Amino acid sequence: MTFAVGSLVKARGREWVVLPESDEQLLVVRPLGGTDDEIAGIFLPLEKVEHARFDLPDPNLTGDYLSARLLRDAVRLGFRSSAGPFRSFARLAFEPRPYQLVPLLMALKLDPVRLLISDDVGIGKTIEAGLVARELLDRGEVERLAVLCPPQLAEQWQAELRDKFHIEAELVLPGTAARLERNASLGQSLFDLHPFVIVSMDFIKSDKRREEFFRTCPELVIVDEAHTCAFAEGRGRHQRHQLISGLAKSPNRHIVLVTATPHSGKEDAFRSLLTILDEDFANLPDDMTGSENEKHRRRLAMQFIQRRRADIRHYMQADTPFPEREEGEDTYRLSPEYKKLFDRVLEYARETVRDVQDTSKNQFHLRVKWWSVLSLLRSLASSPAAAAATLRNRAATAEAETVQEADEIGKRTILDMMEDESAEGMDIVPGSDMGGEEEEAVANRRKLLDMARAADALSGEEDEKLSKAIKLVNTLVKDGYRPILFCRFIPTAEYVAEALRKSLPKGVDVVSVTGMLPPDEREARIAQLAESEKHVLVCTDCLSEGINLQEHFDAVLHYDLSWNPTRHEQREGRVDRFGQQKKIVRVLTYYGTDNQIDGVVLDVLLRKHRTIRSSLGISVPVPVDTEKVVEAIFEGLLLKSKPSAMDNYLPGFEEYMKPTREDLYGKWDAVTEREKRSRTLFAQETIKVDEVSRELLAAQEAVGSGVDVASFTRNALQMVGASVQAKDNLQVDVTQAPQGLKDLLNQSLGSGYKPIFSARFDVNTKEGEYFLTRTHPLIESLSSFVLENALDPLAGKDIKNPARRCGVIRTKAVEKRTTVLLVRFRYHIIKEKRGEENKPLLAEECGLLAFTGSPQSAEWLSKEEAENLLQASPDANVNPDQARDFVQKVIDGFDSLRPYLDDTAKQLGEQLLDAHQRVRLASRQRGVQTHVEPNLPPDVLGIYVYLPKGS
Amino acid sequence: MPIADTGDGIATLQAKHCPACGYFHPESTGNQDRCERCHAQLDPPITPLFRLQNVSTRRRDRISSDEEERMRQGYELRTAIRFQETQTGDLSAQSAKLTKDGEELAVLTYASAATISRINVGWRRRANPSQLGFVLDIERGYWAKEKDEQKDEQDNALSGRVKRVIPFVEDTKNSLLFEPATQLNEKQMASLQAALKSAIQIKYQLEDSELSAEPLPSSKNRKIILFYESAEGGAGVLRRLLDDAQAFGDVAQLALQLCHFDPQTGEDQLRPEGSDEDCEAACYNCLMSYYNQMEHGLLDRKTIQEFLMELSGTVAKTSPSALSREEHLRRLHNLCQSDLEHEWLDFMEQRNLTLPSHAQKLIESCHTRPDFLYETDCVAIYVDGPHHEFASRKERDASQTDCMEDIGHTVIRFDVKDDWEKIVVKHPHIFGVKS
Repeated sequence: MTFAVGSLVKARGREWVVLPESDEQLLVVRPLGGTDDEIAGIFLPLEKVEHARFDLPDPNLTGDYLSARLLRDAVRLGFRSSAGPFRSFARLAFEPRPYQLVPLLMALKLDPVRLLISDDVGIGKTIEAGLVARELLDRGEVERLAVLCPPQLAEQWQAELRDKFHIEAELVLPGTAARLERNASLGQSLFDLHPFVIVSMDFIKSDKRREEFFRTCPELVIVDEAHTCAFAEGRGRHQRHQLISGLAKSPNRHIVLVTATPHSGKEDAFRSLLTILDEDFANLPDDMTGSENEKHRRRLAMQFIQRRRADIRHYMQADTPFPEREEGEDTYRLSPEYKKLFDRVLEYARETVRDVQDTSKNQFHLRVKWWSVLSLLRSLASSPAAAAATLRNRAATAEAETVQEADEIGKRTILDMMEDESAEGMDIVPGSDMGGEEEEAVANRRKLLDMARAADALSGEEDEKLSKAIKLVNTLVKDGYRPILFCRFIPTAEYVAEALRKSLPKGVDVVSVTGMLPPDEREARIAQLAESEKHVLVCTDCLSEGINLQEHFDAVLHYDLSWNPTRHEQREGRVDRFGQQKKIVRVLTYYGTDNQIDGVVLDVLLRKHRTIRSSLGISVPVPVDTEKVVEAIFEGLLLKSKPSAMDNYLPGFEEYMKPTREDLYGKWDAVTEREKRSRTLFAQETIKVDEVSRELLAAQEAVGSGVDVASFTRNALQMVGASVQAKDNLQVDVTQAPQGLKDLLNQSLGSGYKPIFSARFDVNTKEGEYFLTRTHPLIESLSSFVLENALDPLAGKDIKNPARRCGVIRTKAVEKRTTVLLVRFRYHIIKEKRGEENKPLLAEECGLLAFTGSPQSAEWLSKEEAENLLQASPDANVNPDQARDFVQKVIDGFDSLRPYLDDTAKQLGEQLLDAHQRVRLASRQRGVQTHVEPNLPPDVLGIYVYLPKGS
Repeated sequence: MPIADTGDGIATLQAKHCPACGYFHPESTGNQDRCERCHAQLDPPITPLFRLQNVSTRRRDRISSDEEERMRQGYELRTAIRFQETQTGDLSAQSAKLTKDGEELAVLTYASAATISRINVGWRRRANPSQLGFVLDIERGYWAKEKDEQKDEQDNALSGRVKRVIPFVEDTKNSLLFEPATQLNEKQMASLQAALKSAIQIKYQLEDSELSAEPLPSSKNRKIILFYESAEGGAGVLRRLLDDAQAFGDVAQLALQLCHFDPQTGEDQLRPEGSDEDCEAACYNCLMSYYNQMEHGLLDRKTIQEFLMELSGTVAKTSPSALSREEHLRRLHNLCQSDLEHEWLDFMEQRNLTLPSHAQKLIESCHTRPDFLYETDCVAIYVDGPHHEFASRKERDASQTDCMEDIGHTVIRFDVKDDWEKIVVKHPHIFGVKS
């Protein structure tokens, strides 16, 4: 006996739906009204399975208005796989914001999907990429997925995919790859074994692995922080670019590139990313403006999306609650002792640089020295601990062999200028000891060590920067904030954390996270920290990129200024992003008034950057070739100004700086201007707003919109015996509720679940509250519990079973007896590609059908009229005997209703097909045939009769 | 302990308590969506209610400060009322409007032998106000401690040794509902309750313990004052407030006097006669008593002076009271058009079932005159003789049934050949079959 996919079978004393994964011997089934977690396999040769019919409701179990409505709502909220344009929507653990659908709609118009998502920091690019992946998986277009990302983001990707998209992905990192490969049999790669993987980009890019990966790579690849793969100089970048462009060569491979900074100031790099999308983009004209280039722009806009926060804040009426950013600045002055050391170091620096300049014509030697003194200044401005470490360590640049190499290392470790390099390894102290054993070097080293001892003595009381910062943190904590302090160097972070731990009040936890910790341990530390109510995180820039910290933190203090304004943007983006629950996040820029470095950086770079951001709404990175300007500024600081100038800017210094600054600003403004133009050029033109709203509406209809989630939750919880207290939030105690519900909640809400919790239905959730939407796991569990019990013929009339499948109310809303049928339609979507049949997808839809009069003389109402009936409220009571008789009449006459039900099933099937294909324009062109087959007869879940209320 | 019919656990029930008037709807009376008395929409039922029938108490030799604390804390009690049903299935209650110069001031509803339920939903100051009831050890029949429940939870969730129930008691009492036509505030209602209770006691010479007064639907939401004769067997006085049109006016005058107002002019006399202290808001001579200590904070005689003045001149206009069963039956018999119909009425009468409200009443929209009609339930009864066997007649009957059903009436046919007993048993709620 064979069982069609989607049909009902009876086995083990209950009813099941046959799922597509079944084969001739093994039936994969889900209990009727059950969840995906309850899917079971039945081995046919061993167990008896029969076709089942879905029974009509029992008229002896009529319910009142409330219990009948409960079932209707539960059905509409609790659907597993839904019809509508998107296959994936019922599997999402969150409600996507309308603007987040735009990349998905774009992707569905492409085949292969090649998309560059460059939305602003904190908008939810991960979610947008995840949506694309989930939909392609659920449409059966791809079976395997790989996410390429920097290793430190791998865990976060894994968690996001698991928690939001129910995709269980394996991590492929240097540490795990060997283990995963061991499990693969001969000739099988780990990518065959694990359909969903998250791969460290740096691991897979190596020449050795790359070739194999080209062969085994999954059909869908998401590349996070894609700007690091743009074509550019440098070995690491080159390998990454090779990797991605190699992957792009396969014409069937879907690639989603994700980055917040596709330009990074370099036009070439951006162009090289575009060629990943389409090789033809290499031929795009340099200047894209003008009406003659309209077609190019249109072409590009199909695959490239870049939106600012302001663009989406009010997208389609759905206000997205991004937090307000409250920016502040605070300053400190160096203590006399500290200043003395500063002067000493500066003097040393001047000497060194001058010496080298005077005595040696060796460019290389000059550069190395130059970088080492700069790094010394930098670390001294950070903290005594960082300074001491730098003074004692061997200079990083001492390893360099050429001028270029020295410059690259220097820029990276000191100037923060390597825009598109990942933040990994940046927080190591640079070191200042040039090494060597000759006499001069030894003397130099002695000098350095002497200064190091002086630096050691400064920690604690003498460190004004620290003591003022402690006060600031204290205020933040008192105001209810949970701040992150960003430091530049590892020793600084550890030093600050130590001091905070000592001086903050009890109950405030402080943890430092630096590049010293492996990425997975960083997350563990943060998770542990988040458990305490008040906490402070001290970290380096290793946490400044990509990581979601908005759930547990809501303020940022820049303990050390980064010299790269984009870095600031990214640090702040950790807390100021989609999903932040605080309405206001605080950002404090903290700098010294009398250490000139901070002043210059702030003046020249950060403030300018902020001005641009506030006027344009996006951050424009510092034009890259202006590194030289920054260098020049410091050259000026070191060489031209006299020792006496240390108190403040000397007029002379100011004058010296002016032209270089003007030059920088000029270039910067030019880039800004170009950016502004490109924004308007690449504005989203391909996806119309009404298109999004149409699809969203269609998707929402399928997932039970129109149900008052709040009243459903309250009533359902109350009716199963949980105690519910509705104030401005909902305080729920499910200790009294049936064990079945508690188990479900435990499963769906995960580790944080407690039987007593609070929740609310608007976005103003506080820490520890659930924000309940119709797709929240809690609502899902609750509705499936209600539904499952109502459909279980053995459940009886117990408290565990508050909902009723049939009911009769008397209402003024009708003038003639009207019957509403709550029907579940089951379909399978079969896709044929060149004669080859893919495994069918299962879609379920619930529909309301209503007719007036007796079943034999039924006059059917339109969908809207049927929907409206759900709003009808009872106006008089119905005698229970009468209720039973009226439901019985409908059941007795049900044969006359069947033809209409079957017709509707077929009709809806066609609509489903249309919706399914409408959004996926691209695949229709490639000889793929899709058809939808309804499973007849549809299941009648509920029968509700509305009687007119006489005078 | 009473055991549930299923033999599984103790007998509990669920009931809907009208949020607007405190009327009680146990599930056995049907699935009401709206209150049978005031037609307000009902909330989900309170469950599981557990009726206390026999309780035993243990003597305590000494009362510790714990008990003192408990006394002070008190329970949150909810009062619910349910009227008897008349022979036609309606609520058996008689109401009277108190009017003055044609303006309606209040409605009095008298129900003899109404069922009054007192539901104890928990300590007044419990940690979780939305959690109702107490933990009962259902194996041994003791009230268990709250923490037993939690312990039980952890040890074995399925043991079910303890169960949380909401205890209630019920009794039948002659009751009177006093419902002001305009919404009064909490203070006014509390003061009025105290004043009227004392005044009725004075007028009919009752002891304090012979008359009780409760706010409905709850003490936090006072819309109606429920008076009931709390003495065993009742005192038979509440009915007189309706029968005698002037009676309530007299009560209001007495209440004014009690509140130190001149019943004629309404002038504030500030203090009771023979007292040397002024009464500001309330004193033990007017509104306060030992029994309403919990409400002392609310009492203020001045807030009700105006209303009492108006009440003191009212006349009670009583609605026609329901006919006696014999009289009603006689009228129905007179309307009967065939012997079969008489036979049917006799059948109903013999079994003491609910009688229809009308006979031969025209349902215009369907051009039919059902033999009998239960109007509130919308049930039409046809008692069919042999001529209904003919095919053409059958067809007409069927289309008529359809028409009746479309306008929301249930049609029940008693064919001469049917077993009437079976039909009646099949519709226990309509015909009032007692199980």
